[in-house]
Amino acid sequence: MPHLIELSGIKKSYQLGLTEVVALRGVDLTVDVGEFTVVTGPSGSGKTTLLNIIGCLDRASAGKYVLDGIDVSDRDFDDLADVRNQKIGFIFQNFNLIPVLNVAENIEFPCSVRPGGEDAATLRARVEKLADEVGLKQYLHHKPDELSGGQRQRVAIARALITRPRLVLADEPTANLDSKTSDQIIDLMLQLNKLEGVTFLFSTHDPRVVKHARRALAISDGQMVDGALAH
Amino acid sequence: MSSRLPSIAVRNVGRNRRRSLITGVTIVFGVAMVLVVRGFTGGAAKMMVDDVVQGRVGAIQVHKTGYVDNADSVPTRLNLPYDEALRAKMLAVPHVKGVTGRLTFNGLVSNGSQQTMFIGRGMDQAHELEACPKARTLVAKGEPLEAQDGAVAMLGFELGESFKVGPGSMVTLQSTSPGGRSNALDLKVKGLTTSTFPFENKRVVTLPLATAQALVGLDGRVTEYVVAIDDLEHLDETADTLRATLGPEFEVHTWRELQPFVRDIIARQVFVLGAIAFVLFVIVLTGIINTMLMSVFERVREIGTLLAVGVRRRQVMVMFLIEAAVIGALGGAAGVALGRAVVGYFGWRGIPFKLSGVSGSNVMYPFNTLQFTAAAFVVAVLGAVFAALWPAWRASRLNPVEALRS
Repeated sequence: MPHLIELSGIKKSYQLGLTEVVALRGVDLTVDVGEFTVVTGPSGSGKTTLLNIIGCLDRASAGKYVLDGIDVSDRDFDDLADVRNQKIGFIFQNFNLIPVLNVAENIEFPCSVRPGGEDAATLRARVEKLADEVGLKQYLHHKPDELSGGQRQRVAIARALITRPRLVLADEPTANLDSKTSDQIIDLMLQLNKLEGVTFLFSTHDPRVVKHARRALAISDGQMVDGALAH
Repeated sequence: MSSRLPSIAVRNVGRNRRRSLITGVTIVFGVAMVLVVRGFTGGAAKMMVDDVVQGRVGAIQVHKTGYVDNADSVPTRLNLPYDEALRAKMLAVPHVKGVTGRLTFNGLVSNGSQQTMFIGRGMDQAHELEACPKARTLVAKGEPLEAQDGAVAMLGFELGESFKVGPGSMVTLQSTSPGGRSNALDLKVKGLTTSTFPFENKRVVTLPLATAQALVGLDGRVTEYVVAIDDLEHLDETADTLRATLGPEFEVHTWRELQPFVRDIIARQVFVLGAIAFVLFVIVLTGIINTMLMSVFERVREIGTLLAVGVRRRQVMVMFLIEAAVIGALGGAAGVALGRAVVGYFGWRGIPFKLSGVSGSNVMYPFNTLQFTAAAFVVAVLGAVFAALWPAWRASRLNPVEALRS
């Protein structure tokens, strides 16, 4: 079975004034369908850069990236936007909900920017089902500023899943949550990983998140440390 | 464009209400000012054009060839027969709705103790109102001329006041025939006329055509035909048709050619209006650019989120342009309502108006056409969209990684 993610010799460097900053120094990595994986590492180690490249938000300076059988290394911005919309769900540290949209509208938003797509009634039914799964069915008409941090992250999780993505990327998803809410969010993602079969890939500093992961990857100074470490 | 992005754009207008309100008020002020200025300048221009076209000169005049080039010397020798066949020929031209004959001459007017030069206009009262329907309204004192009038005259009101004469007074008019024969007539003043033009008020004496013909010895002759048309939109086209119909013996001029002073005043008003509108436009655009840039700076991470979930750059740009269009439409609609209300009120009430360098008083009725109002609204919306182009472009070019990190 082909890998969902295949990174070969991925390098990334930035120009900061006259200085070239090397963020990734040749990363090789594969992730299979259905994995629940964390990437750990100290600040500045390159884990966010790695997730940005895997999420098609950024392009590698060198190397090859194949996502779900598609070589996305040289795609242009609009092509990458389509890849993100169709194959990837994002969960952000700061939730990043659209403040003028209510919960239901935030969840369905990624589907609403697709050309064509399913009819409104079917989509609304899926939104309600996902909202129910993340425990927010009674909050469908609430605006983000009427929700707690944990509830907002649940909305973000539902939004990440509404497009039926092959991959969900979460950058420090529990960083702004208390420990009890963090545990609930991790449990929820584990449950969805089993229920929906969606692949989850996290970056985190949080040892509780690492504890729950089935696979942990360490990155340091732009390189994978000791390859892939399985629990 | 999906259905959700326009909805976000519209809702974003109400997100920072104070800022949207300030921008909206700028647009309201700009649009309302343009409508008010246009309403007043348009009203003033219409008052002058009506005075000229419907009260004095007519839309078009026909003279014997060479007359207008020598008009300053009032060349009565360049006269025309005044007959029904020629009138009928002109009346048959499309858009012509009335034709009358006039005899213009000069001479001396005296009240017994003072005398001064005057320009005389002999008018055929049987047809005058067909060509100049407002002629009767230009009476400051006394009664207008009637078809049955004989030895009477109307004096410009400043001429009358300087001579201390009014309705019922007697004046003596002296003039000469084209052959040089002098003649004089004692006439009763029937009234005083008023005009937006000082020359008319100070120098012009109006009298029945037959009386004028007798005074200058030109029985059955006139110096000009005055032509009214159904719509000034057809002015040049009708003048061209008349030229072709009448032939080279006649010259045909429009009121614009005969009254360059009025034409130039209107052109100046249009220029001033354009300058005011431009300044207001720049002020409004600056306000919108500021608002939209602030919106972009405040929403960098949100834009990053949109880009991350698959919104294309073009869609981000269109979303900000829709937001600007909504602000422009709301401000433009309110500005139109305010401007139309102000212009409508003064248009209903009328404003006694005195033009610079012009004597006499007239009532001006400001107005806006539907086309101009619609244009002001459309410019407000398009201007808002234009002003938002750069901020929207900046938003669409954000790097999603940097935007999400902000």
